[in-house]
Amino acid sequence: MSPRLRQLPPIAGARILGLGSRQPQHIVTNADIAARGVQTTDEWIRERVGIVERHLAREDESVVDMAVDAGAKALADAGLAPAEIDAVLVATCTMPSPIPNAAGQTAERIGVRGAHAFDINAACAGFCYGLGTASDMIRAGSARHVLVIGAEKLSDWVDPTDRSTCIIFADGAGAVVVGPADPDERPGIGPIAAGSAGDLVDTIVVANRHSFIRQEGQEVYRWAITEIAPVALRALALAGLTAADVDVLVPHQANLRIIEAIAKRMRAAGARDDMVVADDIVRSGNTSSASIPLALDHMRAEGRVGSGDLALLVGFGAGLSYAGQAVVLP
Amino acid sequence: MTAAAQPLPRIGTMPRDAGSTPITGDRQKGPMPVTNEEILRGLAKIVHEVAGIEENEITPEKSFVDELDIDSLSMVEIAVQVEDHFGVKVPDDVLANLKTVGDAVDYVAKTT
Ligand SMILES: CC(C)(COP(=O)(O)OP(=O)(O)OC[C@H]1O[C@@H](n2cnc3c(N)ncnc32)[C@H](O)[C@@H]1OP(=O)(O)O)[C@@H](O)C(=O)NCCC(=O)NCCS
Repeated sequence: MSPRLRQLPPIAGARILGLGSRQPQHIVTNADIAARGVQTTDEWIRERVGIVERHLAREDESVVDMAVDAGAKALADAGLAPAEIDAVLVATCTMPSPIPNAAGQTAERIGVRGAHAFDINAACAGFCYGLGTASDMIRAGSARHVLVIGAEKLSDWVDPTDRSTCIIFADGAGAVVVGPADPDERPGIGPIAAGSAGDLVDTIVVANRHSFIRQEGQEVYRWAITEIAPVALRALALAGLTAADVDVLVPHQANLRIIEAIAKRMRAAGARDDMVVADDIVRSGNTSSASIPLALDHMRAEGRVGSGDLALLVGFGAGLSYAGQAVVLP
Repeated sequence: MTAAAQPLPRIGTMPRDAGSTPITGDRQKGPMPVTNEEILRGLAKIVHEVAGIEENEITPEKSFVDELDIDSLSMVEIAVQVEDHFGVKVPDDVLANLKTVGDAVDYVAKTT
């Protein structure tokens, strides 16, 4: 007979305890890109993707540098010491090399010792996968406090002369600390709604270590405007909520037109007219797995969202992969 | 906004496996149109809604891009709504060849 394996006592729910972000100092405007000789205009970029400017990292500023800064700020925001963190998850798809991973280096530099440390690569869906994993780890008893970071240096993987990508992608990091909800408090992270569309695997690709990102823009656009709102609605349904409960919609900041298309479908499904819709792409560009926590942190700093607001997060991108969940903001 | 005025919404816990249901593509299909005139009217409504162009401007000989000034991403949104409304498929390679409003009407007419 097989031995009986004891399980840790489960915890009812997790919630977000703190938030932090980091953007490189260097700002690149649309005019700067055109001035570099790329055949494009400020007007075209604003109209088709909604970006006005983006932040790009210096050569010596790494994914891990940005992750460390965002992570440390999230810890301070949560009021926790590094020693209280038992897991560090970094969602990234732009590390310069596959090993060592970003999470171990980030943990070490923040002063988190001996913790679980692993990276998640689900491209622009990575942060929501990380948040879902953190929530499940806490609920299962495998960790008590988890630092989840989305950090990307897309500029390393973009051809600066390719106008279909260099206008879109940018650099940055955003982080949250996740911990158990108090026993008498409701969970603050809903179940994940996630999946993948393997038939579209070829639409966003870095072919090999010497290549740049190449994408089939229109195919990705069509997929995003049709398939992502249903994922967001499924995440709400799993959490026992409806579109009217959403205070703030935070889609991955891929393209402002995609964000507006998703928001339009959410309103058709009953979302309120006063629902706030994240538009951080305008100033930050598309930062892949960093875009959702970056947008949250920026919106909080601007006073557009507040503690207790119900936010609906949904990430989507290369894979193609997607993931989303409803969360209560700290 | 803050939730000070409202109670915290309740976030439920997960039923097993509920998070991994695949997305199905069963969108709402509109009623089957019969005449080209009806297709044109349905299409004009969609183009108006997506691109804000007056419905009476949307006539068969007009080209989407050059005359109606509709960009490629709005064309994708129009294609998606045409698919929902008329129950036809408008793949990207077909979409690229629908230059005029009349082309689109003819395509829907022969595909429904
Ligand atoms: C990338 C994207 C903005 C391109 O827009 P698009 O309308 O599909 O662009 P197209 O390649 O069809 O080009 C349309 C026209 O604009 C031109 N164009 C393309 N890129 C341009 C640029 N950067 N500047 C100026 N003109 C440009 C093209 O040459 C073409 O002109 P033409 O019709 O005269 O030949 C858009 O497809 C997109 O955002 N897709 C989603 C991608 C995405 O979000 N990826 C990340 C997911 S995580």
